[in-house]
Amino acid sequence: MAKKEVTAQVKLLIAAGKANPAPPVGPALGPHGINIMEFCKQFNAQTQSMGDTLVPVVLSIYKDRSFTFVLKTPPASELIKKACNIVKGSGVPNKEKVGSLTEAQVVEIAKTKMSDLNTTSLDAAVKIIKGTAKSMGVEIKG
Amino acid sequence: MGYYEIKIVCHTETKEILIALLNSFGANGFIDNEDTLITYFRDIKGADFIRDVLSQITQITQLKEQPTYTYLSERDWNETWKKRFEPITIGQNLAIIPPWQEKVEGKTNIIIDPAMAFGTGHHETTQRCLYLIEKYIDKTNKKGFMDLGTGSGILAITARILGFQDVVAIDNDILAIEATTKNLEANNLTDVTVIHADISHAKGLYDMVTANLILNVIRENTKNILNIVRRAGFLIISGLIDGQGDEIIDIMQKQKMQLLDIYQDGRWSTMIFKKD
Repeated sequence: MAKKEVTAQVKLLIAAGKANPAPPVGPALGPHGINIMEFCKQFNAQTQSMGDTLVPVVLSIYKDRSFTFVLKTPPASELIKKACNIVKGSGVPNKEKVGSLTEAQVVEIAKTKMSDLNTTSLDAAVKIIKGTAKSMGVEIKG
Repeated sequence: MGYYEIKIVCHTETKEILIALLNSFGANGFIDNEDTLITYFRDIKGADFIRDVLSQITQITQLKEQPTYTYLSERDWNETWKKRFEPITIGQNLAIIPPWQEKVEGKTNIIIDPAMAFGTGHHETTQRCLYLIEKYIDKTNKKGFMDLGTGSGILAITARILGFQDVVAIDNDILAIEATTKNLEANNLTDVTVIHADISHAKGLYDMVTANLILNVIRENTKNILNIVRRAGFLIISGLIDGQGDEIIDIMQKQKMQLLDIYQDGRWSTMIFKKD
């Protein structure tokens, strides 16, 4: 078919395998006139095996209201939870610590996330990951 | 029941922290709009809870502005979208409708699920191809029709419903093949041949061929496209933007293809040729 003209790009973070027309999907996609249920079905099919994690997804919406999407790497908080083997961050991160990461783990997560963090500097990416860990009540050791 | 929608204007580097924090409070997913993060909480949590969340994230992170929240009442977003969907009428007698809508009376209804594959009926090139199929079908003997790069299958389905006997749809994208198969079922069609292959694999001779593609693909496959058009058959070419049509007209006329009609819809050119 003819070359597709992208009219909008929408970036969402949705729980793997749990997309439905409720917020954020409905309010984000409704105004663009694309088939919300079709997106949900496709997204859930592609992410159902990812467990209980938030998945960033970027949709390209075309002039004829068809669409495509690509899945991105999970947010830093999800990678941190996985590395620490915790279910959730601390509700009071300054007082209650729920886990810890080594410097090597922080660097590993920073490398994984670098393309999505709008930086080419590993140091800057490491700083963001450390900040995220701190906000979750996760300490950095070593 | 509804949702609280929270909008937070923030720096890129703060976004990851906000996502982590809001997620730990039980946020229902996020919309990432450049410098604004939008998230949702079910209203069962109450406005006090939302104010507490905002207070905590303001203390922990440095934000560009004070975050805001609004209340969204419960609604069925999918139904809202479906209700707003208008049928598309094209040419003399065609109506493109989604599966959930009533047929348009007095029209030839083509059912297309407006999903991921290109060819929902909303694009100028699709509409012009449909118009030309309808306009020229009676000048053929209605035997063979080939749609190159079928997408949703909309052109092939229309050709079959309008009366072509032997209809073939080809596409190298598996999503397109799945969409075409689904749309054929929706139109109760069982005798359209769907091929998952590059258009260079198209074989046979057809009374009408549609190629709603892009310039490079048409250019690279000119010989093969011409080979499958029967003598006195028609070739509809679309998907050409901003003057690209001139090159294709030149190529086709050198191959003894007679230009019958050319249309400009916005930035898009569509043309129909007849093989001598």
